[in-house]
Order: sequence, then structure tokens, then C-alpha cells
Amino acid sequence: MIENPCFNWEKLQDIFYRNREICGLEWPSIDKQQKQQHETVFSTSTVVISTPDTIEIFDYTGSLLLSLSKKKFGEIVKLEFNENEELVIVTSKTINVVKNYLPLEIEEFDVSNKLNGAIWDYKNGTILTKETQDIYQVLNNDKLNLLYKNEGSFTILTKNHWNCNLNKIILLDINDVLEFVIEKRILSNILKSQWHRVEISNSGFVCLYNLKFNKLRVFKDPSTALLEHDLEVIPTDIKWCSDDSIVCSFTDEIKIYGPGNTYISFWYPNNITSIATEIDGLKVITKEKVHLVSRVPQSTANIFRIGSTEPAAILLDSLDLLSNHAPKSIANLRLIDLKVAVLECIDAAKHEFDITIQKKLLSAAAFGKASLDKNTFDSNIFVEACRLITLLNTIRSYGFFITIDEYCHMKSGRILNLLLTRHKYYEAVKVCELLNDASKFSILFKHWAVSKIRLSSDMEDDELLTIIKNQLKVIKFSEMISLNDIVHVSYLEGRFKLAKGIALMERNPQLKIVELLEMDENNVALEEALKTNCPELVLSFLLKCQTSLTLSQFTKLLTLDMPDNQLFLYSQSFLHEEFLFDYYRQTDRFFDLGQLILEQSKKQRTIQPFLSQIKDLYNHYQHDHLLKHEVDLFKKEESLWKYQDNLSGIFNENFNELSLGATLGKLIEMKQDRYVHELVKEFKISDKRFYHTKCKVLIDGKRFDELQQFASERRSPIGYLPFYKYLMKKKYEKEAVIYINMISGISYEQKKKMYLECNSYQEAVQIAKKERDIGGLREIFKLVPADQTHLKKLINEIIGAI
Amino acid sequence: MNTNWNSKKFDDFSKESLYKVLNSLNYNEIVLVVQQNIFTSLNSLFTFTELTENTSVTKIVTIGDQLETDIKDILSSSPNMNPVFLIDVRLELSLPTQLYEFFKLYHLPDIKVIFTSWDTQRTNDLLNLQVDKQLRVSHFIHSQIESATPNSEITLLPWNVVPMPYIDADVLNCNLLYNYNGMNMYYPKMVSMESATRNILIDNMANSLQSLLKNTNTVITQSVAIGEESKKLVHLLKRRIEGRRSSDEKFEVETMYNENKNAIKTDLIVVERSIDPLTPLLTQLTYAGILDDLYDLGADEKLKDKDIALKFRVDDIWEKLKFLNFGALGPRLNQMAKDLQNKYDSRHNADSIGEIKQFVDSLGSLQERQRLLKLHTTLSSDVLHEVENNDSLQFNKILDLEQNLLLDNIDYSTSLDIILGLIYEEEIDSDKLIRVICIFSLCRNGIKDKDYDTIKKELIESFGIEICFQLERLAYAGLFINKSMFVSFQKEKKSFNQINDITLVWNKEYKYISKWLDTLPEEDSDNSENHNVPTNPKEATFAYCGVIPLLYRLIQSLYDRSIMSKHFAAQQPFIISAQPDLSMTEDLYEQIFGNAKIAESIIWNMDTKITAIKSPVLQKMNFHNNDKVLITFLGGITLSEIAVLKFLQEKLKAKNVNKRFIIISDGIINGTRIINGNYYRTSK
Repeated sequence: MIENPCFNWEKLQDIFYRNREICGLEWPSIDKQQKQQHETVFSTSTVVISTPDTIEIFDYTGSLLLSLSKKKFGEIVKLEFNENEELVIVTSKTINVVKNYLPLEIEEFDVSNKLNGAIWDYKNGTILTKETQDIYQVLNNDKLNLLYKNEGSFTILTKNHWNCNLNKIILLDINDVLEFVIEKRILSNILKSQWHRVEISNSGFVCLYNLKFNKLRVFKDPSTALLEHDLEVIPTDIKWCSDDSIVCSFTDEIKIYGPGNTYISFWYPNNITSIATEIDGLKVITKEKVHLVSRVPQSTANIFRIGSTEPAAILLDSLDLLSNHAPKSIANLRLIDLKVAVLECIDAAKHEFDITIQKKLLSAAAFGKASLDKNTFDSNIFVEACRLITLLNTIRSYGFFITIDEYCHMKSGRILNLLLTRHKYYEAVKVCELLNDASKFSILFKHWAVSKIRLSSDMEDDELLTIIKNQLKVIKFSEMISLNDIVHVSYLEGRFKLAKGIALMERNPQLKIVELLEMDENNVALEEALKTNCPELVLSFLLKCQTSLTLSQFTKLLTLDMPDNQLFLYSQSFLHEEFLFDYYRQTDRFFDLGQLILEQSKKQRTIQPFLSQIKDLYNHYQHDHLLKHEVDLFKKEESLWKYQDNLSGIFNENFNELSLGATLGKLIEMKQDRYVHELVKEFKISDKRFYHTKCKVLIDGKRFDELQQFASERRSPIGYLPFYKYLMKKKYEKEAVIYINMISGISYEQKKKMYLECNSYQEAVQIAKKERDIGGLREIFKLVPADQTHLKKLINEIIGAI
Repeated sequence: MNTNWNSKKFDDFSKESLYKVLNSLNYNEIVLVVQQNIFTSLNSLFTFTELTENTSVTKIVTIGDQLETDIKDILSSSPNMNPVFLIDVRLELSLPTQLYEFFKLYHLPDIKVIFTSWDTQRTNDLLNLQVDKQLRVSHFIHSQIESATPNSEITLLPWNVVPMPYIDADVLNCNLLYNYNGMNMYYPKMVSMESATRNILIDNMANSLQSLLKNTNTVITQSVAIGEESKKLVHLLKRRIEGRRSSDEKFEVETMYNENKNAIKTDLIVVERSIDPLTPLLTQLTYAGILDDLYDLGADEKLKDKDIALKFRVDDIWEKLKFLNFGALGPRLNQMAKDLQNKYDSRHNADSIGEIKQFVDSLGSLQERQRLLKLHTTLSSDVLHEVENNDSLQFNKILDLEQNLLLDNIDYSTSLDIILGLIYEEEIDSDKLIRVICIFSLCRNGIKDKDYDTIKKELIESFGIEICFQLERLAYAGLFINKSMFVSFQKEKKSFNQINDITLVWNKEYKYISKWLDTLPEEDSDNSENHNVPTNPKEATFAYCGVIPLLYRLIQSLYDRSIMSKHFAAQQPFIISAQPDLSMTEDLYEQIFGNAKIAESIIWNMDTKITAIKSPVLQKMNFHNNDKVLITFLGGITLSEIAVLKFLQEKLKAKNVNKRFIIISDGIINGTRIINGNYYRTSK
């Protein structure tokens, strides 16, 4: 049977408080004698002990994280943890934030020339200057903001006489209490009385303490005191427990005060050395142990309070009953609001440190959950809670004694950061795995690699690269990790080879290229860009190179590293054609240059002025049959142009821009037989072309006699079918008939058809008669127009004769 | 998991994503300055009113020579207007010249540019990369604007799109084949830039596929790539998809699409133009193809020369007719007209008030149908007129010649004579003529050197010297070559001269290829039931002059080896397969392309990296799944090829291979475009 956790609870008015031991004291404890020179500062995860010569940083398991010599800082005014649990060392002139332990990284902010005087005190990012006692605020540790210029409006006697949270500052002037609201920048007098110490809680409760009368006063609104207490013994320390109850510590006990003179106390077997406020309670550090005093959450109170009849308590009871009195146990479930009970059990489990109690509460929740309808209860709540509890237990097992509220406040990112600054990579991986968050793995890997590179000065680049490569292989979500920062660090460390190697492992091609570019590895970057097969990316990269490289370097890059891919030239061809001309000229690409000139001629709609240039360029390729033949054709064209110019001069007619065929036609049309003859001879015009052209031109000019003469001059090399066709096309049927008989190699049927096409029935009848084709004759008979009776008669006679 | 490929949603995706970008600017009044080349795609996404209702755009201006005055006018009349620029430079990787000049002249203090991009385009990460300014690699658009106006504040916003359906719900046109100068990215005019432009094309195609897959939650299970660029595309896509998978997605894919699991299969088939350069040169005979050949069907589904929009979603006559042989159109239109008449006539039989009301209610849709019917009747009679009477087309003569060249009906010298005759006659357009000459060269594996030179000389004598450069480019594209080029290519495997690489050509004359793959099936005239009638074709010969496109046969062979077993090799590992299977086709590919490794099959989502299937995999075939096949085209597809692939889908269904073909192409090509994309367009 587990001991009921409520045995050490104390009740202050309606609220229970409890005191839980969280760990033993593992770091050197400080004697009373040493206390004058020693100072201890606590954060949730870290302890700082300041000795006369050193500042030592421990974690709660007692391992020394860092030991700093005080010498390098000069006069230290204050040690404090900021909201990221980084140690802030404030000297009179500088504010130093310890960012990393190994390698040591301290971010120094020198304020000496920005401040009117030196720093006198520093609390929560607020500075009070020496002598003038002006108030400044530090932002991001690199900016200083003057909040209030004192000019004699108040005097602060000791460092206890002022305090602040993020919203307001309380200043205890000699006879007045002043409040400064940071956002509004207004200083107002809120009380007219004398006090000697002030503590402000995060939510804005103010506790004033008067040493003379040993008296406490707590208020939020200065006009109404929430509680006033006259203390019997002078307290060693006064702190807020969480942010709503005030605690005084004495030699071996602490007291929590409530309104109306009520208080509860917790007593400790050893002397209390310090107390520290936590987000949900108060850490009490005795000489041997560390305790956490905190409020008991409502859900826990409901379950474990003696005699509780709340649903959750009954649910827990039912679980105990289940093994012996199952029916009773089930019956119990009907009596209560089961959903509330389950939720409370889950909530209470989250708040427990003790794993057995967690288990018991979760079992109760699971038991109750089983009887709940799927629609009324979202099981994810339970699953998430279990996940969270596992995570918290894991984190606690690594020496971070945090509560659920602290976890919610710190977020996983800060926890991870704490692990990383302590180089607890194994633990960090475990936490990341539980979180299952890709971005966390990315942070983790980056931190690991960067530290590895910085700390392994004795390792070779190759060795380091292999180590990093192997780690990257095994880590989860490796595809999401960007290596940009790691590359940058290795580059700054002067490890160029390593930087290049890591850059090549980058998954994101864009980043990879940027990284390689940073190292001036243009060729490798280009190679990588080309590997993506993404022309847009390659071009973007090349345009960047074009601006950062000299022209000759850039041309070299293009010619050597992407000789077969004219992507850049293609894209330039739209806006900067001149680049192509230069490039082709420089690289002796005559053919392409010829193509460019051709494009120009296209724009100007004439080829004449450009052809000789193209010819000269093609002339470089004597061995190439295709182009060599073309050069011959260009030469011929040029002499044609010359000849045409000549003709134009002689006949005062424009021969320019005519093709050879058209020139021939024109000369025939003009009846310039001598020139026709010359042209045919000079330009080796084929007989066939000559016949086709002449035939067409003569028909167009209705020079039928010449045509007939031309046809009979000698046997036509194209036969006589074209004669017939050209004539028929122009509907010169009468003239066409003559040539039908001259056409060789066609059948009787075709011939008959042709005759009929030109309405030459007489001839059709004659050849049909020759062929003794009665069917054909009958067909013709039908086609013959009615008025040609003699023809019809003839057909009948022939049919009769056959 | 929603794996629905409803292409209508793709439009919405692009639309919504533009609205989102525009609204993220938080401007009250926007004048949208739009680049000319996206204007058409904007028009097909939404109307201007829709745009103004959903965003704060109040005016649209196009980027042109008038840009300065336009913007000045607007800004002076309403000073609260904010200009926002909308550009698409995915293919050019360069600002439009006019915009660049504008920025250079008017240094606007604050420049907002929206650029068309992909969800998966990783270069856009540069926009958010947190690096020192000194080291920052800016997005290329940023750098280009900055070089024009160094002191302006530049904001770049990507507009992520997905390919849009084109003429059919299962055809997606990525519209990536031509840049804004009209240059073909697959066959660029500068041969030396080919690798650059093809890389741009492949990158964009990979992105468009990846964003489609992402959008539809589709996981590819197997891929087949035919052609070198196709293989590149598949490898790139695979690397990108797998490289970006989070561990959760990995787990999901591993469990769901493991080899042994019978999950949804999605095949990816990638083919490219150089595998079959012949088909686009042929005269198309499908309704859609013929319209594209004659009147130029634009990317916005409009006939450019006619100003008629053909919308397959609203025009169901078009939906029914587009992929039919033109010869089948008459009877179909006739039947439709009769049906319409019957419906009109039904009013005479309407006795009761109810029936009359029913008729009156349907009157609107009947009239709409009548309008569409009239439109298509007029259109097809126009086509008929062109085909019969246009001398510059000589449609039937060319068609005959094509068929004869393919069938090897006429010998070499006769073919040459006919071609030279056509040149001398000077009646046919040079484009049409060159198309036929290219077919001749392709079928014969090059023309004899002497004749090659003659053809070139005669073409120049007829059409002028400019045509020489067109022929030069066609030579580099492998479409118009001579024997010695072919021989040296065969020897060197890569290039036939030291200057430029030649694109791959066939290793064997077409007559062999056609025999092995039976691309010219003989018509079975004995059996009239099997006769190939245009209205109800039995074979995919209806799209061209009796020839089945090569890619049809190659894709068919992945699932159905009945043809190969009859004509190439009797021993085949299977006759019907539910998964695309390349096994034992090496010999065929070696024979046709001189390279057995030109086709590659990859099973995706396996732990082992790229493993080609060596042995025939004939697992439990699951024929009843309606699996998807993404057929991706590089270098453009013709509308008639789409028609035959649709036909193939039905044929496979009849053999119990239930696949839904989704055709994704970088663009639509036809003979004129393939010839023109390479050449010097004279002003004549």
C-alpha cells in the first residue's frame, strides 16, 4: 500500500501546500562563516556558487559545468539567471551572458560609455546606476533603454530597497514607496511610509518588509493591504512561493503566510541555506537536501484529501476494490461523473514525481476511460499525458528536477538547449526522440557538429568529415537538417576542406549551392546545380556568378563546366543577344554564329546582306559535307544576285529577290530568248525545270502557237502530260486536246477520259472505235450533247459496224 | 485517400491558386499587366467578370509595345491602382523584352510580379531562403528585374498551375512545347541549344507530372520510358518524388504499394517524338486532325483561321465526332440531323398538355443542338471544299503519294521523279512539299547523296535560298538526310558531323518496321464483316492513310503481344498482360533503333534502387481493376494519335485489360508545326 501523499500536506485557509524532497545536495555546501564571501544563485536547472576568486556553475546532480576566474571580470555587481537560464554576470561596466560552456562563449555588452555612471545594481534586466540612480533597461543584451532619469526624485539606500519584475519597479525611497510602470514610464508615489525591503511576484503582488517593526505587508493595489503580519523572529530571507504566497525562511523552518494572521510552516532537519522562487513553488535548500514547497493542485487534493468523496477519489478507490469486490467497484463507477474523474486522475498524475503514484493514477484513469463512450472522451488526452509523463520522467532522470508547470513554462526548446550546453547529446537525442520533432533534431545536430568542429582542433578534416557524415546517416529526420550553419562554422575555423565536404552533404540543393558559393567553389557549386536538373536553379546561380565574377572568369566557367549545355546562352538570347555573339566568337563556334546572323536576317526580312557572312563562317567546315555543299549553294545564289542586278540594269525591271525559277519565268515572259539561254547554261537549270517553266509561262501568256512549236521542237523530257494539265487548269480545253495523243505510256481508258474532259467527243469516239469498245461508245453516246446529232449518228453506226 | 482524376478540378486548382495569390497582396485595386502568351489560358480559366468578383483586379492590360502608355493612362486616371505583373517564363527563363525595357525606363519603386510556376518547382525555395544578402542567390526573375531597375523593391509570387484538359477530359495539354517566339523546345531552331531547351522541357514536364500526382494523391507503381529523353524524365521524376517524401509518406507508400500488395496500379508510360518522327508528317484524317491541319486548332481550343471555339464539355456533337475518320462524319451528321428532326416532329404527336410542355421545355436544348449541328455541318463541308479544290494542298494527290511511299508501292526512282515533278510544278506549298520529302527520307533511311543534293538545289531554285536553312535544320533533326549521313550516324552512333548532334533516326527502312509491327495491315476484303469501314473501324488505320502510328503499336505491345507474335517473333512471353511489360522486346528495339536499351521499365516503390525487369513477370493478373495509365508525350502528340490511343484503350478493354488512358502531352503537333518549328519563316 502506497503511503497517502497527503500526510505531509499543510492547509493554509483552503489551500494545501506540500513539501517534496527533490534531490540531495551534491554541490559544496557553504558554512555560515563563508557566507560573507560566498554567494549562491539558483535557477531551475543550474546552481552558481561564487567564491572570492571563482564563479562555479553546477547542475543539480553536482557536476561542475564551468569554473570561471573572477579576475577577468573585475568588480562583480550581480550574478543572475535570465529567462533562458543563462548566467548573467554583471560588473560595474559590462553585462556578460554565458551562452555556452564548452567552448566557452560569453556575450559581453559593454555599457560603460552608454551609461551615465557605473552599474550599481541589476535585477531582471533592469539597471540602477551608481550615484545618479537612474533606471535603465537592457534589451537583448545589446541595447540600452533609459527608463527614468532620477534627478533627485528618490534615493535608494541599499540594494534591498528596490525590486522589479518585467512590468513594474518598486522603489523604496526614505519615507515613500514609489512605483514605476515600465510600459507607461510613469513614476508615482503609492505609499507614504518607511520600508526596508521589497519583493515583487511575477503576477505583480508586492511584499514590503519593515526591519524596524519586523513587519510584512502584501498588496497588489497599494490602497488595500492583502495581509499584514508582525513577525516574531527576524527572517533570514523573504521570497515568493510561486507568485501568490509570501514565504519567510528562518534557521530551520519556513513559514507561508496567509491573510488574517494565519500561517503554516514546514520544518527541516537541517539548517536552511537558501530559498529560491520557482514558477510554481519555492525551492528550499538545506545543508543536505533540496526541497520543493508547492501548492497541491486541486485535482491531487481531490483525490488524496482524507475523506474525499470527489469523483476522482472514488475512481481511485474503485480500482483498489476491483480485485476483491469487482461488482462494487463497477457499481461505484455509476455513481460518479466518470469523465471528470478520469481527467482529474490524468491531471494529478502529471503533477506527481513518484513513479508508483503516477502509475496508479494512470491505471485508474485507464480503468475509468474504458467505461467511457468514445464520443464523450478523446483518448488522445490520455495518450498525450502518458507521453508527457514519460518525457518528464526522462528529463528528471537526467538531473533536471522540473515540474509539469515548469516544463510548460520552459518549453521543450529550452530543455533541449540546457542539455546541449551541457553536451549531453545522448540525453538530448532521447528527449528529441520522445518529442518526435524534426526541427529539434536539426538544432541538436547543428549544436553537436559545431561543438565537435570547434573542440576537435587536433583532428584532420577528413576524420571529422567521416564522423559527421556517419552521425548524419543515423540521425532521425536527417533529410530535414540544414547544414548551413555547420558549413559556416567550419569555414570560419579555416577548415575549408571540411566545409566543402559538409556542404556537399547538404540535402537542400539551394542551400548547398549557397554554401559552396560562400567558399568560392564556383565550379563545384555549378556542378551541384546541374545535378538537380533544374534549369531555373542553374540559371539563378549563373546570374549570381555573372555579377560576382569577372567576364573572363565567367566565360571560363561556362565553357569548361557546362560546354554541352547552352542554358545560359538560351536565356540570354531573349534580352542580351550581344552576349551570344561575343561568346560564340570567343569560343570559335562559327556554325552557331552563322545561326545568329541568320536570326538577324530574319528580323530584317532579307537574307542578302548576311549571306556572305554566313558563307564565310560555314567555310570553316571544309570537311563537313552538308555545310560544304551549302557553301556552294550560297556562292551560286550570290552569282545569281549579281546576274539579276545586271538584268535589272539592262531591262529596267526589278529582278531582285526572285528565285532562280522565277527569274527564268520572267525572262521567258519577256521573250528574251538569248538571256533565257544564257541563264539556263550559266546556272545549270535542269531541262525538266526549263520545260515546266516555259510551258507554264507560255500558257499564261496565251502563246499557244509557241507552245506547240516548243512541244514539237524535240521530245519533251517531262512528257506531254504537264502540257495537258497546265492547259486544263486554265480551262483551255481546245488547246489541250492536241497534246493528249502525244502523251505516252497511258492507257486507252485514261486517254478516253481526257478527251471527254475536254469535251472532245469526236476524238473519244475515234479511239473507242479503234479499241472496238462498245460499252465505252455507249457511255460517250450518253454524254454527247443533244444538238450534236451527227455525232450520235456516227456512234450508232460504229456500234452497228462492230 | 482521394485518387480521383477529375480533370475539371485541375482548372479550378489553377484558378483558385491565382485568386489566392492576387488576394494575398491586399490591394484594393489592381491593374493586372498580363503577358500575351498567358492571356489565352487566362481566358479559358475564367471570364473577366469572375476575376473582378473574386479578386480586386479591376483592369487588365497586356504586355506589348503599348505597355508604357497603357500603364501611364491608367495610373494617371486612377492613382490608387496598383500594377501587378503576371508573366509566364517557364520556357524562356527570361523576362519578356517589352517588360524588361519598361522596367528599365520606368523605375517603379515597388514591383510585384506573379509568375507561372509549379507547386513542386524547388527553385521557388530561393524566394524564402534565409541567407545573407551578400550570399543570396536570387531567383533568376528577381536578378533580371534587378538588372533593369536596381533600386526597386521586388516581390515575386509564384502562381502554381496544373496542366489543363484539352479537347478531351482525359487529355491534358501542358502547353510547354513552344516558347513565346513559337520555337519548338524539343526541336529548337538552334541545334546547339537542344540540350538546354530539352532540359527545360523535361524539368517542366517532371514538375507538371509531379504536381498532377500530388494533386490527385496518385502513386506511380510502374513506368516504361521509350527514348533517351523519356528515360531522363522518368529518372528525374522518380528522384524528385522519392527525395521529397517525408518518412510518413514513405511508410504509407511502402505498405500500400509494395510489390506484393494488390493496390491500385498506376502506370506511367513516357514516349517521345524522335521515336516516331514519321507520323506527324502524315496527313491527318480524323476530324480533329484535319481541322488542326487546315485551320490550326490553338491551345485555347479555337480554330485560329475560323474563329470557332470547340468546347468538348458543352458541344457533345464535337465530343462524338472529333476522333472519327472524316469519311465517317457524313453518315453520323446525317443520323444526328434525323434524330433532331424526329425530336422536333414529336410535337405533332404531343396530345396532352403535359407532353406539349415537355416539348416546349426541351426546345432550348434542341435549338442549341441545331446550332451546333449546323456549325459542324458547315465546317465539314468547308473542309471538303478545301480538300477537293485547293491546288496548294493537292490533298488527294499527296495522300496517295504518302500511302505509296509507306507501302513501298513505287520504287525509289519513281518516287524521286514524282517529288521532283511536284517541285517543278511549283503549285504545292513548300511546307507540304518538304513534309513529303521528309517522309521519303525517313522511309528510305536517307536519300542517295546525289539526289539529296538535287532535291536541295531544285527546292532553292523554286523557293529561294532561305529554304536551305530550313532543310539544314531538318537534317539535324534527322528528318531529311542522305545516305552518307545515315551511314556515318550508324557508325558513330551519335553524330554525323563534328558540329552538332543529330537526333536519333530509325536503324532500318520503314518497310521492315511496318512489317514487324504490322503498321499497314492489309484489308481483308473476303470477309465483309471484318471490313474496315470508317464508321466502325476494326483497326487503328482510320487516322492516317491506312497506316497505324508506330507509337500505337509500341504502346500496344506493352500489354498485348498478339501482333508481335504474328509478325515479329512467334515466341512471346505473354499475349495479354495487365501490367506494362517490356520483356523480350530488346531484339525489336535493337532492330528498329539500333539500341536495345532505348526502352526501360522500372517498378517503383521498391527498396532496391532502379531495377529493370529482366524476366517476364506474369503475376496474378487483375484484369478488372480500372487502373490508370499516364501516357506522357515529349515533343508533342498529334490529335490523330490521341484518337488512336483512345481506340487502343477500347481495344484493350475488349481483351479484358481495363485501363484508363490519361494522355499528358507537352503540346499538340502536326506536320506544319513540326516543319515550321525548325525553319526560317519567310515573309513571302
